[in-house]
Amino acid sequence: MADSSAPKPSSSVKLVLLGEAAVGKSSLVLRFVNNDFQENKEPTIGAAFLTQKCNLPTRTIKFEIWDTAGQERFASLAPMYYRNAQAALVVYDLTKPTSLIKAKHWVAELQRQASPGIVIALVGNKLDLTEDGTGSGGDAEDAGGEDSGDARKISTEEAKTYAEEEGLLFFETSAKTGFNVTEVFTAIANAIPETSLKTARGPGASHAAARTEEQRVNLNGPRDPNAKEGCAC
Amino acid sequence: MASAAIRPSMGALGRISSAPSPLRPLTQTASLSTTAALLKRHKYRGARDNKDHSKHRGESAIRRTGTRWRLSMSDEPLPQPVPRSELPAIETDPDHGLWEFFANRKTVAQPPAEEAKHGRGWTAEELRYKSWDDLHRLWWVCVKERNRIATATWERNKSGLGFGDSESKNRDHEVRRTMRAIKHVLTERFYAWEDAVKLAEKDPEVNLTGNGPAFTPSNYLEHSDAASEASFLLCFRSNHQRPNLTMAEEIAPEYDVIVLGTGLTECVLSGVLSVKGKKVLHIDRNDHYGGESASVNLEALFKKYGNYAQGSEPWKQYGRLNDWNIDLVPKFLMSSGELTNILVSTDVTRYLEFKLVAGSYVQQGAGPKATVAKVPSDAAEALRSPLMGIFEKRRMKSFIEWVGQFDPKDPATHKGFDMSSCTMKDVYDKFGLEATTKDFIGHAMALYQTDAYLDVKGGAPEAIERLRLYGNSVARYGKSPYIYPLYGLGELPQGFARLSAIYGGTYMLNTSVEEIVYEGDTAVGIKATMRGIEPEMKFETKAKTIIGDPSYFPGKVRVVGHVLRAICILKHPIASTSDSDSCQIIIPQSQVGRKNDIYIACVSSAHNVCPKGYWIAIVSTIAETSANHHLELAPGIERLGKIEEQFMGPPIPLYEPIEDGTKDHIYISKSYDASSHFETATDDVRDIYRRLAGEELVVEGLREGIQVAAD
Ligand SMILES: Nc1nc2c(ncn2[C@@H]2O[C@H](COP(=O)(O)OP(=O)(O)O)[C@@H](O)[C@H]2O)c(=O)[nH]1
Ligand SMILES: [Mg+2]
Repeated sequence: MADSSAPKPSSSVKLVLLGEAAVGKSSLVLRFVNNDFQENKEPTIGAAFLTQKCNLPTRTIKFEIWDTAGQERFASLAPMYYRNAQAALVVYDLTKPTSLIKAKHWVAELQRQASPGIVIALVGNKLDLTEDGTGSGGDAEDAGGEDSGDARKISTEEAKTYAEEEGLLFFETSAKTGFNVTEVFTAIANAIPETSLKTARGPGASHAAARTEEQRVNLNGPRDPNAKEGCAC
Repeated sequence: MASAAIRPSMGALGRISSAPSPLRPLTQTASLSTTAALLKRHKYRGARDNKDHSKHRGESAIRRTGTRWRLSMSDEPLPQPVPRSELPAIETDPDHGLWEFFANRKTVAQPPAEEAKHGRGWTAEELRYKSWDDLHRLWWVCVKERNRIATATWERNKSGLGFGDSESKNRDHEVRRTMRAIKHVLTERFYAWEDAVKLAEKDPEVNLTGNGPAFTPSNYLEHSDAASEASFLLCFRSNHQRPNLTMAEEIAPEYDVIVLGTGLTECVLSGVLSVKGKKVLHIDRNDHYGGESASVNLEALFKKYGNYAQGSEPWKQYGRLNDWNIDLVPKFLMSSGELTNILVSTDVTRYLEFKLVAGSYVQQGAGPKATVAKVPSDAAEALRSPLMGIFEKRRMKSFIEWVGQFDPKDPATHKGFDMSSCTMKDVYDKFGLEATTKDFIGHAMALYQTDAYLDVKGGAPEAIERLRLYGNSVARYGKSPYIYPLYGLGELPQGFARLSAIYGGTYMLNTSVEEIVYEGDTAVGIKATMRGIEPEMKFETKAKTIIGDPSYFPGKVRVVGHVLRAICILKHPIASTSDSDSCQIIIPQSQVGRKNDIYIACVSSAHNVCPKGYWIAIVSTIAETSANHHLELAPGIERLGKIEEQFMGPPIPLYEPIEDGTKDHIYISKSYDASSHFETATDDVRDIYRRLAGEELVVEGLREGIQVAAD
């Protein structure tokens, strides 16, 4: 895996999932990474993060996708979770009005706490439960949530306006049918600024350029045989 | 230039051939008729064919004419338009308002690099101090900037340039952030005004009718009360409420283990237990992780210590609040220590990044004559060290070499000592080490805080083991034995909490425990309330094992000592540490006439714990007196030079459990002691694990076979 044939630049991007419990965050990732969907699936035990590559014309983005591990259930996500995230998927459930409120809360939290260049995508999930969610339209002009009597509770217009105000990418998806799922990730990959990709590797990547790498330690790596020579005192 | 003479619409009638005269374009409508018959008659193309081939089919018998198809054109030559080049130039107003839609006159859109050059948006904090006029002006500056960005984006899309979108989005984002902040501040002002009006209505001194003086003070003091209340309101309006959550999830009726408090010890245990398949419920009464081992921002620190004038906000002058992550407990990780082992074998290293602490130093002497020098960590360094004279260096070298090859199980390496009975003092004496050398070996390398270890019978192997840990830790990365996580120690409990959650642990912050439920002498569950949601959620759940930090079991712990700590904010590195970004300085007790050592732990912006240009130094020791605690820390604080802010509270009690938990099934951790590293904390983890699981904790390979994480 180390040598891919094309010498395309490849960079990893830390992507975090945020949103109310049960809106379908884990399902979206499962659909994106394994192209799979499972009704009422318990979270994968032991999955620290999933990775998936996204090939763009000029570069390869390797998403390091962090799931919440269920810590959002009782509002107990640790700030460490979204520290240095370069991209965030803020997910709400189209059929549940409170989930958009929660999503807005997360957007505000990210804007306050996360690294400045973070790309945020607002994703309304479970489109298959709505009438326009057959997977054909996508850009439903006007989803009259009230009168049509379907399960939709949040109109495309409302969420889209909010997303535009806040400068977020916006998608309506269905993890169940797979509709629009890869599009979300591709759009995120496209929106990541070149500047934050220069320094490839993982957590802290966006700040790494400014700092000297020499004193970083890799605890997993082999012990440095030359370490003793390194003393500058 | 033939085509220039033809009206553009003519192209639709027929293809232009190379006609000799461009002035007679009509002759080219060949598809309609021949030239000769042009004005006479011609056949309508859509007409049915004459089946009888009669030439006169359809002609009028009277006039001998058929339907005539008129062309709506005349033969007249057309006037020629004046060529562009001969037209007078159109005058544009160089100061036309529309120019403002562009960054400059030459280009439609700025290059991305140019577009990326911008600062951050204004924060609400900054804008609170601005006048109405300033806010108004700033608002329209923002509107204009957004228009400019939108124009550039339009132009880029129009010409399909395909770059610069993200840069201009970022720029736009900052502008919108500012606009949001302006709205925020205006709303605050509106609320403050509303509240002020309400106050004023009740205030006998204020007359809102508009007749006569608005304000008639009866008493100076009362007036200032009203004013400060208004400004109080102004400050606290901004703490907007979190949106409500509906808590559909249920808490299980029973867990294997309930853990109270999210300090490092508790989180490591909870992580390990979850990996081992236990069902864990982990609760903290605070709204953040870490308890005593959290890292907090400057505002939280000021509020914790309360050392500022009511109403003032001294943290405002120290940059962005979010850039501060100040540890409450000063510690480093030994890079070959047990915590590092646990981090690696549980893979929690994936969530954290570590940096080497630049150096470990020791002080010799006291007062103005004191010197600070780096602790030598191997034989070669010992030879260069200013801490010893030339002969002492040789003795030190042979001592260190002996420690390096010491094996507790192999008597051949024991130099003739009986390790079960000899003291460390005996060992030092055998190598003929001087008192000052013993001092830094024992305190700065073996990291003993008092001299009590010297006379413990059979204590030598432990001391040697500590020296080996120190040496191995230095050898791992060089320079110093310590590593430190970026963003502060508070990241460690969070990392282990994530580990636990990934293996199914349930986390609840903001939850207070009202009662431990007992059956006989044994704890079997808890009653608790989760706050911060509407309505509060009361619940009850059971567990056979309860783990917690001392603060959750005030009746089951005793005080074993007090630590003194002073957290100091500096704007410079500590003197004699080669301007390092981080260091530890140990002041051995004997050097300053004490029984316990004084530790200084210093980290800086290099560790993402404070903004650029700041250092955080924490001075700590074990309290030896019952008053004048600041005098006890003075030798350490003297080393720091100019201090911007100092936070020092009353002595911090150190707790330990009275019972071992086998009877009541409550396992209580110890407080974080005054040592400079986490070795005692991990000892506590192992100890608690042994007590509750009845087996030794083996971390090596903990996740092997269970790990599902893809890479
Ligand atoms: N109908 C439908 N159900 C979905 C969709 N995505 C997720 N779900 C269901 O919603 C529930 C919660 O999904 P999960 O991925 O665990 O949500 P999370 O808590 O946000 O990670 C599960 O029962 C899923 O089967 C979707 O697109 N359509
Ligand atoms: Mg999930």
